[in-house]
Amino acid sequence: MNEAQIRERLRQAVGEGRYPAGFSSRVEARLRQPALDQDVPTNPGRNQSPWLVGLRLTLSLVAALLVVLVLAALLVGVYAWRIHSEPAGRYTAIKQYQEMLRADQQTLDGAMYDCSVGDAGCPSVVAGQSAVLRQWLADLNGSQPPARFLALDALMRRHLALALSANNDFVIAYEENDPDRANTAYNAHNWEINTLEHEAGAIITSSQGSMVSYSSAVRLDREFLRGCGLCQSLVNPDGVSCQSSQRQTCVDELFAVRLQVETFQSDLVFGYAPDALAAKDQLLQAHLVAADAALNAMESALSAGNQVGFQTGLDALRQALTQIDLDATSIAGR
Amino acid sequence: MSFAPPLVQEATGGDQHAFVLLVEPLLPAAYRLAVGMLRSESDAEDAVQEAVLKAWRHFSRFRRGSDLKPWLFTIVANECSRGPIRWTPSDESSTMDLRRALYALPHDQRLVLILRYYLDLSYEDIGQTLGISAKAAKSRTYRAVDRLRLSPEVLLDE
Repeated sequence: MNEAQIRERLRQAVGEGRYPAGFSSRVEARLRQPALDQDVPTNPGRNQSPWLVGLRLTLSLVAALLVVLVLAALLVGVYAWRIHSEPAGRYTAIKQYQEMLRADQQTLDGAMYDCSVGDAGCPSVVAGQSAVLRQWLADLNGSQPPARFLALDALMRRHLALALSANNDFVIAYEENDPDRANTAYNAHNWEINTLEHEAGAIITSSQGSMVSYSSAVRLDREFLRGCGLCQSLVNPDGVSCQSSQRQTCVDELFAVRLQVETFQSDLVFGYAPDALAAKDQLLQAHLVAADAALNAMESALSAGNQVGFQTGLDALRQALTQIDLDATSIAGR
Repeated sequence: MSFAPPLVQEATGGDQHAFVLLVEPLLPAAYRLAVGMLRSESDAEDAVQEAVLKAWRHFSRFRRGSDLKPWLFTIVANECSRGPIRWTPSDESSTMDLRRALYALPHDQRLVLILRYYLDLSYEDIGQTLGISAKAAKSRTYRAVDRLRLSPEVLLDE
């Protein structure tokens, strides 16, 4: 499916919103609103009776008092929360880790490449990016990830290693003047970088979700997993056995499950669980990590032609996915 | 889109009318972005109105000489990230279609798809809106399309 077809289908799905008549005027009126609000106190009650002015004054004082009380309660609440839920230095450690990733991501943004066999200077551009990726990996190795980001930290390391490997493949293909292999390596590299950026982005912008937003994210990710045809086909007992004749299908299925599992993990970091759901979230995350480990085992077994090892991994994956569904349902309901 | 520098200067100096003149041509696209993100026309109106108000309040942060469109779109997109998307009853069917899958995507993935395919922005413009390079914008778009491609019943089958 090409870009034009994707565009057409997306537009059908979203529908064409009609620009509302008089919208510009309403926006302009809304813009003026604060100015009007500011005018009121400077000229109070020009056409109002004295008791109305008095009432307004009283209400203003009560409102101001309430604001002060709410602010004080908030300060005490935040302080208590920091004392009870954040060990010393943890908040700083989270910020430092996020800043490190932000810097690495920005450097990588400036080192993206788009070249192919025959383009002059291509290997040096790729080498430049590989240096950036190695630095990112070194940064991760030299830091202790906060507990909240442990799972994504491990995933990022994996994607960094795979991106570096794809870059190496690309350079070899370039030197051997093999455009097909170079293209495959470039696409693989692109995928790893996208995933890396997505996961780093989830950490950098991580914030605590509300009960509603967190549960809703969990429900949607569970629906994606339930509805993912390739995922179901992999874990279905009657599905493909991932023997050599069906290997490409098997790789696609593994890829599909990994995408869903990793995105689920990112979403749980992007809007992390409210305190009331923290215990359930930990369980869910542990099963997602188990699913990820099972996928790693299956991929290794597949490339080594180890059918027994693959089956063991598949059993573990089935178990983990069943648990994930149960965990998600206990958080988000049916 | 380029703007006459005096207008930007006047708006920066607090001239609300100058600001309106700058923003008005962008409102249809901003509204379209909000409709694409929120699906509800009344929510979209509210989001754009709030975004314009915030843009006005923070106009001093707008860098002179840069393009106003991505700056405003960033604020609109942020405004659209607040609050859940409203669903019509038909959306609750058990069959997940492209629309459901699109609105089930995380905000950042849905945003790149809307910017690219609903607003027809270039990757350069998407990059400016998201504060990333054009290549990174392209990568994010591909990732979002890949996610949709793997969604149930949806999709973008070859």
